[in-house]
Amino acid sequence: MSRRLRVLLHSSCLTLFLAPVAFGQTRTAATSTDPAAGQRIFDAQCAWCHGNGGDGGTGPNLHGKLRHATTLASIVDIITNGIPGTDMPSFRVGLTERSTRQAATYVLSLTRAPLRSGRGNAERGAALYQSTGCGSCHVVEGRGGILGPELTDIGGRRGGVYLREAIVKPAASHPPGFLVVRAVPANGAEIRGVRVNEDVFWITIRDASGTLHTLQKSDLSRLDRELEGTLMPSYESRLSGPQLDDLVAYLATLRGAK
Amino acid sequence: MNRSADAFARRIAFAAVVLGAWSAVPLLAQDGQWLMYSGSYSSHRFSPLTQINTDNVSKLRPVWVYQPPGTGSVESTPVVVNGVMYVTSGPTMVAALELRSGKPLWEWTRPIAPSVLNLGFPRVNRGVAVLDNMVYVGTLDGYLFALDARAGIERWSVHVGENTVGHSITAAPLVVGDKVVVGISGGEAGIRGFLDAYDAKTGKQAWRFYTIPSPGEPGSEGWPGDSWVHGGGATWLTGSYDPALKLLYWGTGNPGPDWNGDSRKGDNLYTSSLVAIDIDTGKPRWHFQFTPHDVHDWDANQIPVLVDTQVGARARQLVVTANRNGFYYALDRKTGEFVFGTPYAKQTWAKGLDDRGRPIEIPGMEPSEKGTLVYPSLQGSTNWASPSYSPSTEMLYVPVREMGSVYYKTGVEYKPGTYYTGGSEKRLDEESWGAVRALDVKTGKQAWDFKLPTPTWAGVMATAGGLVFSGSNEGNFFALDAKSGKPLWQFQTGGAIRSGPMSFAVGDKQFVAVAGGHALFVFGLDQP
Repeated sequence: MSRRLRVLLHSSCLTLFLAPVAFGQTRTAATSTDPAAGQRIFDAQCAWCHGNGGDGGTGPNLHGKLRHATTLASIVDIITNGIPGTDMPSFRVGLTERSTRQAATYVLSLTRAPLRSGRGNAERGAALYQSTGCGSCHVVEGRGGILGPELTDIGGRRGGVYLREAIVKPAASHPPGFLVVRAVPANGAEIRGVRVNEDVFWITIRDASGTLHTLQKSDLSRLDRELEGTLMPSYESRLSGPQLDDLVAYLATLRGAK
Repeated sequence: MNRSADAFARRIAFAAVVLGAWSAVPLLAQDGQWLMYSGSYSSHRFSPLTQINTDNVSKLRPVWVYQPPGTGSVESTPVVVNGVMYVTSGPTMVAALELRSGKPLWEWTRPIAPSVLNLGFPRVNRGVAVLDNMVYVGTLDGYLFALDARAGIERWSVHVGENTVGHSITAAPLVVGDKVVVGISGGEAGIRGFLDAYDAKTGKQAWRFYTIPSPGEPGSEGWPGDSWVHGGGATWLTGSYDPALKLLYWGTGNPGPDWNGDSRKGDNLYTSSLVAIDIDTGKPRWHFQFTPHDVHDWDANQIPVLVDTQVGARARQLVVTANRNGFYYALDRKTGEFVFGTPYAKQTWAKGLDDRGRPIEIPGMEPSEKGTLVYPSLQGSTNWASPSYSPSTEMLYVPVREMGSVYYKTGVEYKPGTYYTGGSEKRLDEESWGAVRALDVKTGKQAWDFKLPTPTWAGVMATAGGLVFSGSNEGNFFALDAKSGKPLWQFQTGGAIRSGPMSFAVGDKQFVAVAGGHALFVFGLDQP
């Protein structure tokens, strides 16, 4: 089962627990500015990425000031049209104007709650980022290696729960564009790495050393996609609980190049 | 005509004779032209040309490339008539191209304002129809234009559907006799779908067939209250035609609202159906509904393919289709009788089909507030990309999308000119893939499968040269061995292929054309 599906089913179970409260609102009583009606929509449509209660997941935490919207109208606009260049899709097809406004009202109520500060210390986390060698694979504000995804604005795009999981169990949360593949040439050693590009006949792989391999598929005896594979090691046993809190706190401060 | 040209013409003539013996349905592509969107009325999308074949396709190379004005993907299948190619690009542009140089003889553009609605589909155009000196094209803002084929000058136009409530035209029209038949888009906007026929010379409406019956008409019992008014059933792709039976075969789209069927309990005829329509009267002679009370947006607009073959001991005149709902169907095209049906791709919503072809549905597969995982995705096991049938192999080559979705149901209200869907989906992109899949047309069983990295939007063309051409989202245009599916040639076009390949001849040379990204590519052999 894919991670996305697991997340969905997990979030669906939570939705069921929340449902009695939400269903207590009758449809006729719900207005376009009713946060409770909006929460029902949010739980079904938005929590997949933004986490239950807007705590963040593959999408950003919605508590505190948002990067792209500050008013009800601007949140409605984002839900309707999405945000080009990000993972935020348009919900123009699936949600009526009324439902969009209800969801936006709920999101606005989340933004008015203060951003819950994590347990960690961001300054200690920044030092840990350097000493642990994260920068050998990740770029922050122009510095670092290219094997992993850039982290310059990761705190604005991902929630704390997701960031923690990405450090502890990176195989369960590999980001889009970093699919790991394993290719076995008919005459040669196995190559494992991140898929840089693939078409019907060719594939280009960047291995853990950063070397690029462009292979013709007809020359391969085997080609496997590792849907839950990653080149990133788990830091579960290498960092203590408080250290993980610090590192997540630091990553959460990364909101884009200054 | 030089010697090689003469030999080529003989080969074409031979192919035509052989194919004529195999099929009672006329194959109009036999003289090196490609007269309509699907190649012929039977929609085989099969080229009888043999110059490019399994022995020499590895030497195929690009001859010219045409880049139309504007931006966006080119989803058109060109037609070639009387030595000129007519191709379209989005939102609504037509070019007439000289076949040897690839240079335009004329270009015609319909100005399309940003405010023009395209609810549920991209701002594209998929092709033209041609009759005598006229080129017919539908427009994104809901008009049908007749252009002078020699100069691209407008001869007449008609307002087919009101765009402000979601009507639009992206499909290629079909010319039958003195009529131009054109379908309409707008199934996500709560339109009441219809199919129109117009007089080819004057543009006067000959008939309109509404795909949603009004109260009192046959089928209206499946539409409670006034749900029929916004019942959907768009006719957004080109149909097929049997001249002997004088029947049009046209697929219809989803009912509205797409994913929330609460207001329309019933079968919702004639949505997600194939309708056989009398060309003279516009009246339906029979219909077959693939997905009664569809709540997954499984349009049945896929190109119906007319095939004459033996099923068991009996010679049959069939219309076959690989449907978006994951099942392959063979119907008697005279009566609409269900002959057989079988799954051809992963599906999790039905146990099978009963003896009349109605799906035996698995409970709990409807969209829900918390989400319901179902295969196939709302884009279906196949979509608008054309299949192809080869009379040589008796295989139907289907562009396949193997993908599941989590379907959500939401509230819905009709507001003119906005989406009327009642839900959404989340696709399982990472676990998805595509294929060109060869099905035995007599049984629906898979003969071979050529896998693609992602669910495909590329049409397929089989040829008498023993080849199957298709493309990929990743830009590959390729040729497979029609018998085995083995790849024999490929070219990277640099843009996703969301169009149908076709083939034509100029003098003694055969060419193959396909659109990739925002360009049209034409390929040929250096030395046939």
